[in-house]
Amino acid sequence: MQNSLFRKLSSLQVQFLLALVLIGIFPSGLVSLVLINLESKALTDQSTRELTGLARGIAKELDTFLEEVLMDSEAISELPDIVSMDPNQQTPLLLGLHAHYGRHMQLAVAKLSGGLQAAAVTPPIPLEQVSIAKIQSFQIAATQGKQAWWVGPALFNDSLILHMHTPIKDTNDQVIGVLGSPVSLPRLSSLLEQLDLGSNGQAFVLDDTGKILLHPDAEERDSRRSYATWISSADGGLPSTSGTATYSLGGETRIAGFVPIPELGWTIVVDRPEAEVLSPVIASRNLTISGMVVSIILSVFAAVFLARGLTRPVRELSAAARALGAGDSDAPLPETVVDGNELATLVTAFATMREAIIEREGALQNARDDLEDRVADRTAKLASVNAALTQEVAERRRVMDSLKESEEQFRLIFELAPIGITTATIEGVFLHPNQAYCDMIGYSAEELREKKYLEITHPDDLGENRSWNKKLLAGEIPHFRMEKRYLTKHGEVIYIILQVALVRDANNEPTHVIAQVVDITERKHTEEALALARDQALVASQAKTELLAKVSHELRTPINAILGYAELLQEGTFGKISVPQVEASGKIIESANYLATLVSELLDQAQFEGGKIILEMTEFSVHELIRRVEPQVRLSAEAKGLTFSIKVENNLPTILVGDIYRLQQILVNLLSNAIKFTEDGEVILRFYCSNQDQWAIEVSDTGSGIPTDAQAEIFEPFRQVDGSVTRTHIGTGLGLSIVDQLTSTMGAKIHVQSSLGQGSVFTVLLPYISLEEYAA
Amino acid sequence: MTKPLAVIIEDDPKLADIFSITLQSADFETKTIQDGQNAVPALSELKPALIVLDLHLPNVSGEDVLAHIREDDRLSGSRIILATADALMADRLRSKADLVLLKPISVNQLREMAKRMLPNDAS
Repeated sequence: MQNSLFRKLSSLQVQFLLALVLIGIFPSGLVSLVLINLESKALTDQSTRELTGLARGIAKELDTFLEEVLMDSEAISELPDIVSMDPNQQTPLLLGLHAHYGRHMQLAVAKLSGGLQAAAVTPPIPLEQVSIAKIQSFQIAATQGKQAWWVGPALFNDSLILHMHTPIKDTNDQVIGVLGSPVSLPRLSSLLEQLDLGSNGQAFVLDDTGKILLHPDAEERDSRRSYATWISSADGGLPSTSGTATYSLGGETRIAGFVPIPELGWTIVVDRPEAEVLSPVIASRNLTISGMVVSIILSVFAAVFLARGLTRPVRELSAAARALGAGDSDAPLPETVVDGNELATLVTAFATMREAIIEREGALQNARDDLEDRVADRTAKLASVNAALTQEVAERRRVMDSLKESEEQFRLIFELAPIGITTATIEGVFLHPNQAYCDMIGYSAEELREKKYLEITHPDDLGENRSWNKKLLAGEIPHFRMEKRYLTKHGEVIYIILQVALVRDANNEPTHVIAQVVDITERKHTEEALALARDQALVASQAKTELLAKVSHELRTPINAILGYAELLQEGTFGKISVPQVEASGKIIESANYLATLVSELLDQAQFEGGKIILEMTEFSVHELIRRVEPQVRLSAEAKGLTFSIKVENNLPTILVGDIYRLQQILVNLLSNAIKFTEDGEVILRFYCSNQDQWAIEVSDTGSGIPTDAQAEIFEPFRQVDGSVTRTHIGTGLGLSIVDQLTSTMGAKIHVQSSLGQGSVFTVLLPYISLEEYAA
Repeated sequence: MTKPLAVIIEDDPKLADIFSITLQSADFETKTIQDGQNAVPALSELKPALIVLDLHLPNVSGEDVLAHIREDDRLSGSRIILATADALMADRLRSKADLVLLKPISVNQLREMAKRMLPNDAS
């Protein structure tokens, strides 16, 4: 409750309000009040001054009046014989004088004893019963011979009158009587009525005790009200100088001016109600206050409006700020009427700030999202890595198990291997030789561990062994294999195949070597025996070949003689011969040719059987090949009336690699065959590129053809298609067999396409090779 | 106009006879030498148009004779036919000769080849 009140009071709106009221209204009200007060004071001063002036005027008038009354009384008192005259005359005189002067209440002449002689009183009073001896002023006049007055009760009633007594003197200046000439207070009071004191103003006279003595209003006069408390000097008595006073009378504040009359001991007082005096000021004050009230109300409204106007954007802004705090970034912003004022700047700044916050929020959100994504991603990766790790651990365990297992296996293999295995240091000192190794060398493992393997190596093999070791350690080769000899403990020489591998550690530094050794002593001995046998066989074969060559040569010469002479005979070189002679000559020629073919085929076959075909690979051109083959076959073809043509396709490379002599042999065989089995038509030799790997030689004829079922057999030795053909066609039947053997030696293939009566096509497919390839 | 000379270097007299007759029928003047040793100086002198050379000769081998012929400037115009029964040797020496004929050599074949080897103005 207090809090909410405090909040209300401390709210900007209320503060504005208070500030505006304090700043705007309070000073102006204050100024107005001060002005009004000043004006009141001025009015009061002026009024009191006026009142004092009036009082002073009254005092003067009263003084004058009383002076005149005194002078009248003195004049009367100086009348001769006023005392001594006949009393019957005295009374009328006094009446006459009373009327003449008119100011006195009555006139009376008293004796010094105080007894009245005569009195002008209406109605007449019994003089003998009256004494004025006790009246103070009479006493002064009678005894001191001075005029005197005194306010006191009248002789015949209690009403106050102003007693005035004047001594009556004789010529000797002796007091002989006293003239009483009282003045009534109402008569004096009438002097006060002449003043214009407004409706409520009054002038009155106080006696020396401060009580009302004279007042135009008889009732007031009779009330004898005392003003002593209000109008008094510092010592408590009546003031001796004129002044002003303010007092409350009958619930009304009155202001008064007073003037003392010292001779009489009276004080003239003129007062008016303050309200009356200040009425102009009060009217103005009321106007001011009303104006102030109106202006306060207007100010309050204005302030409320202004404050609202001022605070509305602030409140809206704070609402927007709260909304922003709560996450609502779309709260409306206050509309600012005037651009560029502080509020507009504040709103703009807020909007900018909000945008920045939204942006930052967005960026933050993005970053957060991104972070979450990354965390999720990382978590997923971690999980997968974890899974992979778990799997890997399991895998490792399996691997370890299988490693242990395989280590055990390898150890067994190592120990039980039938070949010698050992490890050795880089320097060649034995580390772990297996049992087979020890058995082979004859040393125990312990003995071997104190040796270097070079110590048990045959001296003749040390050089080669060292050079291999050097290469191995230099990293030029990962391992090497060599044949060498060991010297066993028992002094025997054994042949071994040694394979050495270098083992390196993780830093690629050589740690040790592993050597595997197979004892090939026995094999070596067998090999040596075999080599010897082979050499002997080779020599024998050589001899056979040479013999065959010689036989061949020796046979060909006589065959050539037979053939030559038969031909010459047939031609009629030695004289005309008969038809049967010509035919006989032909048979001789045929037989001689057959014999020649027989001889050369036998020789070729003998060469194959002796394993003597060694290919001599050279680069050559197909035209060179043609140049060699053509002369050997063209004539025989043409002699039979056959067309012999040669085609070289463009796709064939210019330079080929192969054994040109053997190719020539193949071609001569195939072409001779074709010519042999073709009675008319043509024989075509064709060279072409078969595909990117091989080239082809094709020999086609229009001859008798080969039945399909016989095609598989034609390449076997001593085969011709049938017996009848054999007789008409010379040859051993070895020709195609030799071709087949030659082609397979060359890595080539031969096949035939043929049907009976349709001619044959023999195709030899040869691989493209380079000299380097062949050398490799 | 003289006939071109063909020298036949052949140790076998029968073959020498056959080759001689054959070449004569092909319009050659022929001369036969049976010995390698005698052949070399004779050839240089004779400067034959055609030489038929057997490779198996006594004393000096046909191969040596062939080498001599190819080194002798005087014999630069001579065409050479190798006539042999040894196919391997024939193959080896093929590049040095103009033609290689393997024995047995047909009369027709020799005649035809010899004719083809003759200079055009000689036929």
